[in-house]
Amino acid sequence: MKPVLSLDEIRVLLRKPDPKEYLPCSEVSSGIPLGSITEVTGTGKTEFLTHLLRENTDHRALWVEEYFSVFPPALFQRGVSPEQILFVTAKKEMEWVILNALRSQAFSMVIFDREECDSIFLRRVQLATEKAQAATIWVSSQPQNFWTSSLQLQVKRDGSKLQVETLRKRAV
Amino acid sequence: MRFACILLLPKDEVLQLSLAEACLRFSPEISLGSRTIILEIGKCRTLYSEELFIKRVQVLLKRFGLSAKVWIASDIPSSVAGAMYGRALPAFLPIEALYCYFSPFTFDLSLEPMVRALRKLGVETLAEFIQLPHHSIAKKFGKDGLLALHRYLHAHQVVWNRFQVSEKIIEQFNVESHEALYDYDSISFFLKRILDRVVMRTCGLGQLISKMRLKFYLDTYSSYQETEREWLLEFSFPHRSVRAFLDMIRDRVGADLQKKSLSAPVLRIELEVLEMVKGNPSQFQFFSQQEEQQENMNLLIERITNKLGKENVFYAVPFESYIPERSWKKAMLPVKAKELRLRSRPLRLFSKPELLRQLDQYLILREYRWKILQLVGPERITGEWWLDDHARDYFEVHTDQEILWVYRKPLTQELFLHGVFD
Repeated sequence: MKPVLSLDEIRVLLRKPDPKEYLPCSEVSSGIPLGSITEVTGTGKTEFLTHLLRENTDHRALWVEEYFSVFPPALFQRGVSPEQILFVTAKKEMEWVILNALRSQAFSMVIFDREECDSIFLRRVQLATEKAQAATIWVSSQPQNFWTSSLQLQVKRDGSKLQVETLRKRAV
Repeated sequence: MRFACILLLPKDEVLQLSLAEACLRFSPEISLGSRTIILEIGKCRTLYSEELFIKRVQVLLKRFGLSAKVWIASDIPSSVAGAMYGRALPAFLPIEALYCYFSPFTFDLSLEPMVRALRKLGVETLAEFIQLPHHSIAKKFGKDGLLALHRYLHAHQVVWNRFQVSEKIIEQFNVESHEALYDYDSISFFLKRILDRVVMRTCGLGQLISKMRLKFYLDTYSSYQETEREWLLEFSFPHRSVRAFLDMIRDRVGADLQKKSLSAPVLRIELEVLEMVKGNPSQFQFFSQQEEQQENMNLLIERITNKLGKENVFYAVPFESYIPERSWKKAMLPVKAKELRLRSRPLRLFSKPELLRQLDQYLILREYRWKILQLVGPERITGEWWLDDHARDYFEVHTDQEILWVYRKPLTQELFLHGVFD
């Protein structure tokens, strides 16, 4: 016998969940904004991402790199689940991969590691990110001066701790 | 019992078979007539209403590009007569409706002289026909007359002729002579229609497509050597949506046509399903988006795999080895990680360790230079003794810029940079 739902219960099920605006992150008080690009730079940037992934285990992430350099066992060691991340070595097709991943809306976090980005590429990614309401995280070693990133973070190591400095924050 | 009759206007034998397969989603009890598809839907009353059934059939017909009349009645001949004449009561059915009762599947015209004679006698409707004295029907029209009357009076006793699904699912589209199809964009417009039919047929069979062949037959001018182009499309995950297939075909075929364009216009497009897997082709769950998200993800993985190769899209899976670069593997499906009781590992690892030079307090690699502040270690990693570099002494090297993961070979004392604590 199937359980019978009351009208109120059906209403609750049908109600669209309130759109989240940020992914919680203990290192950044305002969180990581959804629907925009966050730029993460500095010597502790990957460590910072492990914190973010660990705190958002219910969000699936796509990790795109031109050439694979992440060491997955180190991620697992820091408490990131292997099921959470799909890795892609995109070589010259990074833009295609990122845009299609965002359009598919299958991932709420898209992390890409690229040193040099042009403004057209970033603008396209920003538009797709906005539509997908995902958190796109651009990882690079040095902070860049592009208006497309709504949040720019610099992460430094201080012993075993991370020092996260907000270089720029744009109102969403 | 309730029977639905779909009467195709005009007759199209190929599409009739395809539509019948697509109709298997409504009921497994299907029978084919010369231009009709008859379904027994009485047992599916809890799944859908008759009104909903008619609406869904209309959607299917639209997708197949067919027009048809649909009628539901409690016996097969009445449903056929209803579809044909748009009414069901004998008082309103013309005497020609006797064909539907005499042979509802084939519309046997052997009764034509009798029907013509009845018309001359002023019998215009079926109601008038059954009011005729039975012995006079037998006297005037013989056994055919009696048989027609018997079949009308016992309309529910028609032998059910069950439809057998075709062994192969092939859909074709013949291009009109005035349409010159060379590029993928114009071809995809027609391809969508074919795909739509293929997906509906497989859905009707409760199957999902995992492999298919796409073939373009080209115009055969004597100066062109290429007469056809074909692609074998294999899918790691079976899909159910036309959009998914179109995206994947565009990635593959569109890219191929950009590299090598068609030498002649396409005359015919053919799509054949080669492999199917049992699956649930029904719609996604209403209250949860999980299924939809999973399907989107499968599609994305499939498309990236097609574009970049299998080795470039993966989940990382831990693997038991002490050698760092061999301590994980690429996998198509994720697994849960075991707890690693090792010293902290760097988040970035070089695929090939780089030979370092040490000059006093400095480590040098090409144009890069790090000042050593502190050394943590060593951590001896050994294991695979049959390899040359089976022993390594790893150090966490805290420098003025970052923390490096460096190892020294005990035999040669050479230093290698293997990773960075990023």
